[in-house]
Amino acid sequence: MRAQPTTGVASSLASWLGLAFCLTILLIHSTTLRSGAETETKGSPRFLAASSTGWVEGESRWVSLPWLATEGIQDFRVTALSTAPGVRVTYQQETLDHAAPQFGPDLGANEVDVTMLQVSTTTATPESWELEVSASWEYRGRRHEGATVIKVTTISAVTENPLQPLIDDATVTASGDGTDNWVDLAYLGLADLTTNVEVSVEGDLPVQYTSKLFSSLDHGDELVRGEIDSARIWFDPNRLGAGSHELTVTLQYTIDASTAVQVVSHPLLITVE
Amino acid sequence: MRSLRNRVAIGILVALPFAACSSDPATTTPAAEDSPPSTDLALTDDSDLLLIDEPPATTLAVDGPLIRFEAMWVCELQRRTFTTPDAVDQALEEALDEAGLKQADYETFRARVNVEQELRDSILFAYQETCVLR
Repeated sequence: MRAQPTTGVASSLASWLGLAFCLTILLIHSTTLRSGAETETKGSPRFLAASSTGWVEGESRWVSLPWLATEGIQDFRVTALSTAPGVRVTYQQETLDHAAPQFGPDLGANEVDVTMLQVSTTTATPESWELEVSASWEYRGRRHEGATVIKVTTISAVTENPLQPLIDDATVTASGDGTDNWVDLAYLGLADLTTNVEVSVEGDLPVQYTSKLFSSLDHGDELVRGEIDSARIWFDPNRLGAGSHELTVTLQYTIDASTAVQVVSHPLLITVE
Repeated sequence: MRSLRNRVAIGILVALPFAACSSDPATTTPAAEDSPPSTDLALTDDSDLLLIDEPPATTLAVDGPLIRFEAMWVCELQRRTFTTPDAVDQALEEALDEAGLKQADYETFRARVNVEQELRDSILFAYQETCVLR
């Protein structure tokens, strides 16, 4: 009979122990779930190339797509596809059906590497088309994949302008800190060598250049054939006023070894939001 | 009356299903080789995002020229196109010459990149400075 109260206390204690155990397990696992969600990035690499580019019709050239591995990943593969007429994508002989990073298929965290693929177009290729780039990789024993799209503008092979503009419209915003109002004007070089490139906007407009009177290309002042670079111009949305503005951009440059300065212009539509 | 052992056992049995539900398959259960890929992820090309905060200073002191060259080269590669893969190698040789660097040194350096985190961080920082932020 004296054992009864002891059994009762022990029984209650056991119940509390069991409950405490359950709560501890639940707490541990809810924490695991939360931290798992925060750290489960699937090792997604970042695509570092521009989302739009230019291409000369009928050309077959090798392009480099740069990637940043945000985590250590293995067996990184890239394929590309376009359903546009006349567009064909091929890979290097070593891999045949995909492109691999130049310095091996495994990438360490924060490693930047490029994948090369050959893109061929014909005269049947439309002026505007898309190249869908798919990537797959292994991260922590599982295979993952992702995709992105590059918008391509086909340039006529018979154009006489050796510096082909790839941007003809842009939007700037009246709100914010103004950093969004730098417009990247991208150009594709069609001559063997275009040098001394200066970009400006015609008229007395509220713009700012990277130099005093003009903007140079971001990466040096010359372009070789097939190279793309941008000149940045800052537009003041408050002084331009809301709505769309049809502007004219002036390009100055010299071709190959010539010292003669050539001047051409192209339209640019700036919309202030 | 249930025994002490039974009460604890019941507690454990109640907790186990919760534990089983919250296991993370990506980290605890490696998939078979032929398992289907996970859900598509959007790859980003948002160059406005900061890639890395600051470089490790130790590597820069030793490998500075090669780190800066690698950052510049990747930046240049993505802006150019080439007629053949050999043309890429030729352009690399020319760029190395122009920078006063030797091909053999570059190859040794590049082989270290995959195994040295500090080197990767330094290259990424230089790439960000020269190619992304400008």
